[in-house]
Amino acid sequence: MNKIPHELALSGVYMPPSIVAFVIGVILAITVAKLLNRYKMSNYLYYPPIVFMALVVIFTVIAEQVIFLF
Amino acid sequence: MQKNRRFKEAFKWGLAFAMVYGIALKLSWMNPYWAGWAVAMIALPTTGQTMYKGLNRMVGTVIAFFASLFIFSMAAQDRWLFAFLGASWIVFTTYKMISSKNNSYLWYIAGFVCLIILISTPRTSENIFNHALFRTLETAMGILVYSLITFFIWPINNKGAIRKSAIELLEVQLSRIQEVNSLINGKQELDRLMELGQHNTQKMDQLNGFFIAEGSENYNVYEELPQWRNFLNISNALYVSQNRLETHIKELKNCDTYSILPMLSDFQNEIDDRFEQMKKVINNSTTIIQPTNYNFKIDQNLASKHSVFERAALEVSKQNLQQINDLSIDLFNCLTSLMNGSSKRIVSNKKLKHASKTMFAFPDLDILKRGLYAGTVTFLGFCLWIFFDPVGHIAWFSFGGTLAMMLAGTPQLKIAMVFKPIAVTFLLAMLVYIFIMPTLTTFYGLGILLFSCLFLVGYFFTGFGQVIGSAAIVNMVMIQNQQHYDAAVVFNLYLFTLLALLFFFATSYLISSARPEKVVLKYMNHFFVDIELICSHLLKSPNHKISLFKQWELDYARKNFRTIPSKINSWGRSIDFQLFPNVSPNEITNLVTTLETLVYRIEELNETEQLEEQNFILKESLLNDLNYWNAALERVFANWSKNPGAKIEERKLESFNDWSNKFESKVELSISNASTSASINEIEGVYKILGALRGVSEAVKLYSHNTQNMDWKQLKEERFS
Repeated sequence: MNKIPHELALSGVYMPPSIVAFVIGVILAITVAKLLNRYKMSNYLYYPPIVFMALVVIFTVIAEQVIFLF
Repeated sequence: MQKNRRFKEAFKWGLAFAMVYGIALKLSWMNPYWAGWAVAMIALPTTGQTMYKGLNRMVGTVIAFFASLFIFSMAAQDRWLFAFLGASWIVFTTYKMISSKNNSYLWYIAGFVCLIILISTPRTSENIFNHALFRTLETAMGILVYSLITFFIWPINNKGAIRKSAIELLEVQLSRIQEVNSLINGKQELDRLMELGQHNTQKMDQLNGFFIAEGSENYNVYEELPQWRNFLNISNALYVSQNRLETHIKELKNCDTYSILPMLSDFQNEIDDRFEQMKKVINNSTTIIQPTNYNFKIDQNLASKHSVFERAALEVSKQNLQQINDLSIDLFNCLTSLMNGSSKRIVSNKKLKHASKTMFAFPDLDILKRGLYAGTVTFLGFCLWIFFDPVGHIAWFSFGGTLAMMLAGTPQLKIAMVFKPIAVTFLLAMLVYIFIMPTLTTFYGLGILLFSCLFLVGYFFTGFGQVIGSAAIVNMVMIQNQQHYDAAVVFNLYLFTLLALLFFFATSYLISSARPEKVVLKYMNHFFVDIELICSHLLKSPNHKISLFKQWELDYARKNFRTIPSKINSWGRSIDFQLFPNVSPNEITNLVTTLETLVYRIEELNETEQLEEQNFILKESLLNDLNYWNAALERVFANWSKNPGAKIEERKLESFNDWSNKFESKVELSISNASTSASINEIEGVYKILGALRGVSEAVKLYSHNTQNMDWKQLKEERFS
């Protein structure tokens, strides 16, 4: 894994990998939330807003790890 | 808005927008888009209030100017103190923005302009001052240009709007009285009554809006405003009395009301003339007939043939009819003195009775929470900038605060719904910046472009669409005196906007914007907890003392519970009913109406407190029974605070009916025993208390009946938004 700080270039715009990871994290969290809603699984959660925040953090961290692989 | 009018307004908007850029560029002022913002914002939806809005914007900017200089002087070297002061200012301005009825725009401007000045990355004290000064100057210029354009090109003023609106309000008030008359005559028009009640509120809001619009354009009207506000206050009191009468009159279906209240028929005939006269007074007609004052009396001989509870309902209805009579005379006198140019102020005694007196003043905790939300988001935006420095950089601090204020003002707004229009309009504005702007060589070309963009937004969009459209143009088409083009910068800005919306989507959970049904349930709980507390302090002996803290709690409950039905109404409308197929919008409307009925009944009960203390009959025999009744109601409310859909058991209802039959004969006996020693006022007092308590019981039954089919379980289901 490359630990040297670096930026991602998207169409000439340089940005920190954490932002891209955050966007991916939010999109994945929204997708999982929609699926949990659809199959009535969210009923079993104590407080979905906190779960949503936790999902965003989990997916952001995972996405960041994956981005650093490249 | 008609097509012709929309064209004119969009034309003026576009022209002012192009002109302010021209002036700011010609004079080499700092950041010309500040002037553009001023025009874009003061021309937005409430076009009738342009002058007032312009004034608010100017004053708000000046306040922001001083607030930002203060923060810079205190915390220029300490970033955390800087963020804390900035966020605290946002908490304060958001609180003022939401709680202020007429100056909310002023406080919104004072909040977000302060943040914009704070992010101006100044290097010297002079630079800080210049930033603040140019912001104020360009805002003033924007307001001046737009005001001049609206004054000279197709001017629209609000002349006569207050009088027209006052006449419309009088018409609705009269229609409500006529509908009640139909109800007394046996016609069932409950839906129509509900519709007229809503219409009445709308007309009062409209009239209040015209006070601002016309009052800011015409000095004579401005001078008359205190009198007009008095007219509105009396109308408000009349509105409450009419609501109360409407809820009681339904219970008199077995009574020959016209015989028992002999003056009712004359009053009904006269009230039409009274309102017609008032309309004539507003139109400056000279043939004015003074209204007749009625003093309603119950024919006790006829009334005694009815049950105690029907007599109690008659007593309360009489009281409300008397209030309607007195308030409509106050309205008449207020209008007469207003049109005669007299400065004498008609103060209605009746209207004061409706305002429950409280010992303490309270901040509104809901509004405070929304203010804290806006402050927290501003602070979080600052932290994002400091720790991650994403695209947008310091704009997370200012843009975060600005959007959080908007969301705190309209918490029912769903971020997910505005995401698509913002993404599309900002993208279009970005394309204008990349493909059209580099081809322009003179200001004429730029002016035409700016005019066209704003004209199209003004003509084709409405409401919130106009806000988004104009924000897209001002932000994405970054015009400077030394213009250079950089696609990466504008792409960064676009990305920042989308990221900021995601950030807001996540933080909107803090004020439950995404889950309105949970807010409705929370308010239901607060409502019944408040009512339970109020009831627990009613019908106590005069020696009953409570601690200062309990008094504070009680005062807060008395103030709070009356605001809850309207809050449930606004949150209930934003529930996504597709997610809750077993709950319908009609059920929410029914729920709100039922809660409002409960509010009126509890207030009536509250007002009988003084009667209890002075009443000889009650002290002697009935107080214990009334307390038993009250305690039963308390238990019902306690149960509903935990579960708003809980049904009252049939067994309990039956035993309550048995008890009330026995109680009825006990009351008859007590009154006949006391009739020689007690005064008529004392006997009437007993009926008033009985009527009020019975009114609450009826409202409880109505609530139980109206909400028993609602699927509360589904509303309680946990889900992601």
